[in-house]
Amino acid sequence: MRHILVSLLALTTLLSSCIKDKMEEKYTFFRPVYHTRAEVKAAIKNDNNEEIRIPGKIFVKGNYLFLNEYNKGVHVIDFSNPAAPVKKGFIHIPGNVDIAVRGNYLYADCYSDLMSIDISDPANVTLAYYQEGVFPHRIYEAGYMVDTSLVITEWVRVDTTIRSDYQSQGGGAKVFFDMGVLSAQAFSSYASPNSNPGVTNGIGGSLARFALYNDRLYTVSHSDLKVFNTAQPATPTYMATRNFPRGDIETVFPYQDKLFIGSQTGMYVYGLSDPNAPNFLSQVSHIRSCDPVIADGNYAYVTLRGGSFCGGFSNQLDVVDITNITSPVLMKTYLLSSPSGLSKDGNILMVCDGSEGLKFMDASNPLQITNLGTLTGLLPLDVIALQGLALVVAEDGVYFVNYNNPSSPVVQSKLTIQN
Amino acid sequence: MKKSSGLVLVLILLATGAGFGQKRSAFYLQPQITLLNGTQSVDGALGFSSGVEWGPWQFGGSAEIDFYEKRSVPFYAEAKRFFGNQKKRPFVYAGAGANFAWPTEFQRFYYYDWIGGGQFYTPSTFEHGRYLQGGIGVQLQSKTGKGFSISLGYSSKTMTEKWVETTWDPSTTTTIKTNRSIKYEFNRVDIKLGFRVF
Repeated sequence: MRHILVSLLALTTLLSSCIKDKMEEKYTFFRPVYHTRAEVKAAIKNDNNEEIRIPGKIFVKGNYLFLNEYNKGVHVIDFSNPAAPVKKGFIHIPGNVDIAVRGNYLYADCYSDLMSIDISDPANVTLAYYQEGVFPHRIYEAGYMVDTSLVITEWVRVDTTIRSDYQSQGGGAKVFFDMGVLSAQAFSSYASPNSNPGVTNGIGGSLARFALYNDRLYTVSHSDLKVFNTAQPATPTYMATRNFPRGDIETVFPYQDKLFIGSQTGMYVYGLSDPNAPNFLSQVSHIRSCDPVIADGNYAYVTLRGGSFCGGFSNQLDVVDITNITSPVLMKTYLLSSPSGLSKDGNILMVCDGSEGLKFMDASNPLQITNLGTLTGLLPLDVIALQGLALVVAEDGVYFVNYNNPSSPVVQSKLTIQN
Repeated sequence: MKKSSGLVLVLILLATGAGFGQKRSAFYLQPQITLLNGTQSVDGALGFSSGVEWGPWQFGGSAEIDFYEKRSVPFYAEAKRFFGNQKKRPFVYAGAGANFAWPTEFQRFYYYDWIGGGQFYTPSTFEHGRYLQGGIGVQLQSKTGKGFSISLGYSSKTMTEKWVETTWDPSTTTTIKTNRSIKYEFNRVDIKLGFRVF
């Protein structure tokens, strides 16, 4: 019996080294498709065939709406007749998220690069200038480090099966921390003054990371502010970078030689007395949430949206008195549903408020804002107000809304998003 | 799967209902304990085997609680072929059946989802798999059939763990729910000790 046991144990030890535990894992991921920079540059031209699928930031210049197609490029839309807007073309710019327009030039990011595109003939655009590596924070894309010599032009879904040896997980439950959404969709900037006569800056929404003020382009990443000299509109020249103490910056809004910067934890104000070296003036902190900001007169308007990737659960509009810019004071808070972009035209304040629609408010007294009317049936993300015409980017399309009577806004037309 | 489980149950009932007696029974019941040697760990299994003996053959079913890596309950039909008719009876055996996953809470993945304003821990789910075994051994028994057996063999059990995860889709800038699964295949060398009670 003893011999049998000893023999079995010895044989077991020998055999166990030949037998392996295995696992077959099935999951989905997205794989980037790369092109060379030369191929990308050659592809920067108009294409009429691209549908609107994932609308991002918006910028207006004259009668043209420039609409970012997230990570793909820019739609050029002629809304001379708001009742019948015309898509004039699509500019392929892989990795594009932010845009601004100055004079006849469109500034657009292409992952970590900045390009200037001549749009004097919107139907026939040409690449004017290309500056590499000015936005290093965009090197990382969806977990990939973008090859510095190549550009990601699309993503391909891959359902894969991996076979491997099983590795024991030891004791304890395994928890997957699902980071989920880190959406960078839909954020834009605003009208901006200009010191160069004859060259005008366009108008952006409230959720932008690009802002024009006089002949400077200001861009914010999560953690820094960059300055580009656009005195020669065709060739924006990098000037300086200013780092923020926290890495949660979301938007930038230029107003009266100041930059109002929205972060997930507060509003920062920087002065532009030296346009190449914005200086910190003040800040107003708030609880963690998504936070675009605009300013008008003696007040800044901040929407806080909770329940998203920004964190927090507050949904509100804060009105901040900026009469003393070095010491802004939160004056009043209005509860909202799920606000995001906002815009102001005179006394009319427009707020995109999630499923409740686009709200038109009377802000003649910012401390006693009242609702005038609401455009329902859409999930608005951002809005630009243009003297009676609101350009609204929503989840299901781009709306052109007449608000001459703000208590009864009328949709003049809509460009539907293709799913 | 249901048919094989039913067959095993019938065999067990037949064995337990007709097995008590002094004579060597045509039926047998054998509690058993198994040492499972894998590449990741050494663990054990507890169970019993029951069935009918017919000449040099045994046909029956077995049920175990298998604690190796991910706890499970294999139900399987097995056949043994004995050689000789002495007190020490060598045998070969083989079995196949279903492996019912029964993981402990610590053997599951937990999906942590805070999208939509909530925070939820969602445990993974398991699909059952198959169970295979085979080997050689020797039975030391009395005239009544009672006695010990020891065997060396190989066993393999499979099961699939599934959960849903949120995947960032950079092409649409949205999160999508995707399925993720792992099919485990545990292959072990077994040393099995059994005691035939009738």
